[in-house]
Amino acid sequence: MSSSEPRFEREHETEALIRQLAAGAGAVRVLAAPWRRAAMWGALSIPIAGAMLAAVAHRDRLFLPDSDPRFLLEEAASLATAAAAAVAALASIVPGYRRAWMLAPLLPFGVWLAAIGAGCLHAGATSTGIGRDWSCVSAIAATGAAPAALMAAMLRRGAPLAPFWSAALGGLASAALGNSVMRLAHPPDASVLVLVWHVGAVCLLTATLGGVGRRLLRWPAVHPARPPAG
Amino acid sequence: MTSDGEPLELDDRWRGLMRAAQCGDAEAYAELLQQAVPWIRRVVRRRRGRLRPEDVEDVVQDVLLAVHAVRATYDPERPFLPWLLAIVRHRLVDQARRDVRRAAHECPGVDLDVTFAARGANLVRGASADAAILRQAIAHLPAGQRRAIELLKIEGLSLKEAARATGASVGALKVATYRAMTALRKALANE
Repeated sequence: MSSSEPRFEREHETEALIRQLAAGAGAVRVLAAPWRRAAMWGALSIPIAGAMLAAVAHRDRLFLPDSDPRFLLEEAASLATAAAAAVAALASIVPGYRRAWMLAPLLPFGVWLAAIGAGCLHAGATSTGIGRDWSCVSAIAATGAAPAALMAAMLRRGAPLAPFWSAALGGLASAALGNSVMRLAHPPDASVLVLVWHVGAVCLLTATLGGVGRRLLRWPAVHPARPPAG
Repeated sequence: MTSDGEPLELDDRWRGLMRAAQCGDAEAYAELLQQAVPWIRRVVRRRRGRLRPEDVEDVVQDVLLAVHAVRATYDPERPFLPWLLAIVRHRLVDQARRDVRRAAHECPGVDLDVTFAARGANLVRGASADAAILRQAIAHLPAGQRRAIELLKIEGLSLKEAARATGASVGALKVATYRAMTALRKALANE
């Protein structure tokens, strides 16, 4: 057998595969741009997270960010982290998008940490203590669970080019959203508690989702159809 | 020119074909894939010059399946070639990873240029007799296991190709092969 024969045969196989793929290719609904999908995710997730907050916290014990600018900055940065991470996660499953998008949440995340750090320095020893507030972790996990499940479903419609990072960014988006909502249940001077328990919970959930990314996000199975006879 | 040195005209043409394909035009889709295959082959050869021709074709087919699986992610308002190139790159990395894994689990065969002196190695019942026993053992396997062995071990198809040929899932084929190999090992040990 000459060396060119197997190659020739394999190229015939490729042509047959093209015919099979084309025969089974119907119309597809094109995915919207990542920022549009992220907006859709936010529009569905925020009411769910709000409902979770209403279920776990008393209405008269909510601390709305109307007076303390640092509290306001903290909340805005946390929400911006959620938004940037959602856009980055949804861009990471579209082939051809710049990988640099995955760094987008770094800036708001840094501002968020800085705002909490400034709050810790300002409040000092008088602030609400660290406590053993595992309830924060579970509340953020519970609040972020539905947005995370929604994000996972949205990510699975794309190409798992970097499954770890896509899932981790999706986890960061969901956990940061959960944090933004659950932060309203703590007084503005609770920065030390927030630094330990909320940042800890966000990092834990991000790492957990990243860890299951490869199993969660796989290339969709393709079942080529038989080409029409003739 | 695009970032990969391809003319914009090519990108425009493929973008148009892909747009039509996303709307369900099977002919446009087939034309697009046919036109893209030589380009994909060229990119694969350029990036992995040491691949054997059959391995190049494996990657090309893998890319076609990936393109088909995620064709909804292509936004017709954006250039087509960076989208396709990102898939080719990803499948190449995946293929390299598979090669490394395979190399870690396989032992290279050693061609000995001397005959073993031991009596057991020089019995009259030689290779042909062993082959007959093996053929017989394969024939006694359940149909599914026999088909898996024939396709994967004798015809040398990849799991994906065998799955296409039989309609079984890759997982089912792996299980069938494992069971068949265990049964063959037992059968041959009793000979």
